[in-house]
Amino acid sequence: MKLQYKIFAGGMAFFILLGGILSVSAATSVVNGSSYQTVRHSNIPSFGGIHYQTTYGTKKTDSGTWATFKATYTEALLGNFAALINSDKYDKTGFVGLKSTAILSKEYNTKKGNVYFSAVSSSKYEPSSSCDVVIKFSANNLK
Amino acid sequence: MKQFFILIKQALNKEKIFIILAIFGLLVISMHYTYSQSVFSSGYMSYYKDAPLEFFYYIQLTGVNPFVLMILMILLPNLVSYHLLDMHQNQTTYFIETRIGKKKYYLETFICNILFTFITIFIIEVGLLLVIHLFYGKVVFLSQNYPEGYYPLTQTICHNELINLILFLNLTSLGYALLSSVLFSLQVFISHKYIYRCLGVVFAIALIVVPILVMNYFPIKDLSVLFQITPLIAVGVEQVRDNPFGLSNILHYFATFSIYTIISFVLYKILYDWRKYND
Repeated sequence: MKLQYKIFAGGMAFFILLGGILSVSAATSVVNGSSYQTVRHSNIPSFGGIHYQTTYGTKKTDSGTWATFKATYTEALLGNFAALINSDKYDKTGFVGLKSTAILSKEYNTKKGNVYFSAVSSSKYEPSSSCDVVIKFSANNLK
Repeated sequence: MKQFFILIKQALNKEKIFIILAIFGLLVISMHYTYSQSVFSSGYMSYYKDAPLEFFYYIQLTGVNPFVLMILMILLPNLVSYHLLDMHQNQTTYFIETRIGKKKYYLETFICNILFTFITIFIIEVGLLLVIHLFYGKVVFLSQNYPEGYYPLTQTICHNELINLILFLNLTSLGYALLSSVLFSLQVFISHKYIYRCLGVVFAIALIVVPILVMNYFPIKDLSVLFQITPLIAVGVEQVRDNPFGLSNILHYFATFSIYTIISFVLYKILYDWRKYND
């Protein structure tokens, strides 16, 4: 094989590998639990519907049993509730009311090193299904 | 006093007992549904010792689990108030009014409604706690110290979980009794018997949603939040926003309680005057 073909094949392989890595990292963006992950939940379903977000995760780096949530932007006047979930959308904490100050929630069956995501629900009396909320959350205790 | 007990006895008939038992059955079913849909069903109950007590408060978190509120609000107008409306429309109250006087009859029925609702709600809440204790997990009072930033549902009023529970049960029952007294007087506006039977649910939803939706039109936003009934039905459990005017949970409860006490007495006066001058 000529040198040109070898360079071409090597280059293609490199770009395919790079593309693969980039697409995987774009599919799930994970932040260490020692700092907040910021995520936007858009169009939260009405009347207590739950919106799951399994793209932006937080990696648990402590051995405690507390997760931290904080709302930075809310639209629903009746408030929203948040919970920590795993990639299969199973609850790892109960739903807690979101406030602008950081609040802790008790975790169940979480492990250090695992990646967790967030779910946000509207109030059971919320008539709108177009409310957005931006939250900061972590699988660690950041208080 | 004798007539007062006769009125209480009158309120306790087979139909009432059947309604109370049916409502309790519905509450147990709804509680199990909440359990199966929440993190509590996945071993959380056995992992945390205080989880059964936490679950009792969690089912009262109306923003997530509206069933307890909705089902109890179906019960309220059907305890004593509906009985009075029914008797009034059948004109059978005239005999009692002639015998003991209209003022005394209405006042004693009004107080009887408050007492009967308080006792019924208290028994139902204790019953739910007992069901949790027997079938879901042992209810224990640990009164632990939690890390800063955690809002323990088991310590919404005070640190001691037993005292907190006793206060919660009493204040919640009193809150429902007050709402029942407001519903009692609303029969002056809602005279259709079957609509009146279901009025409690509409009333509850309106008093949770409307004060928040009109909040932005009030010059002082916190004033509007005081009209929301959530502290009356579950003291300090609903925590989606900070308490108005920076009040503690118990003061928030008493502020809302005072507002609805005034509303209740004004409505009672309207009801009594209407029945006095128009019957």
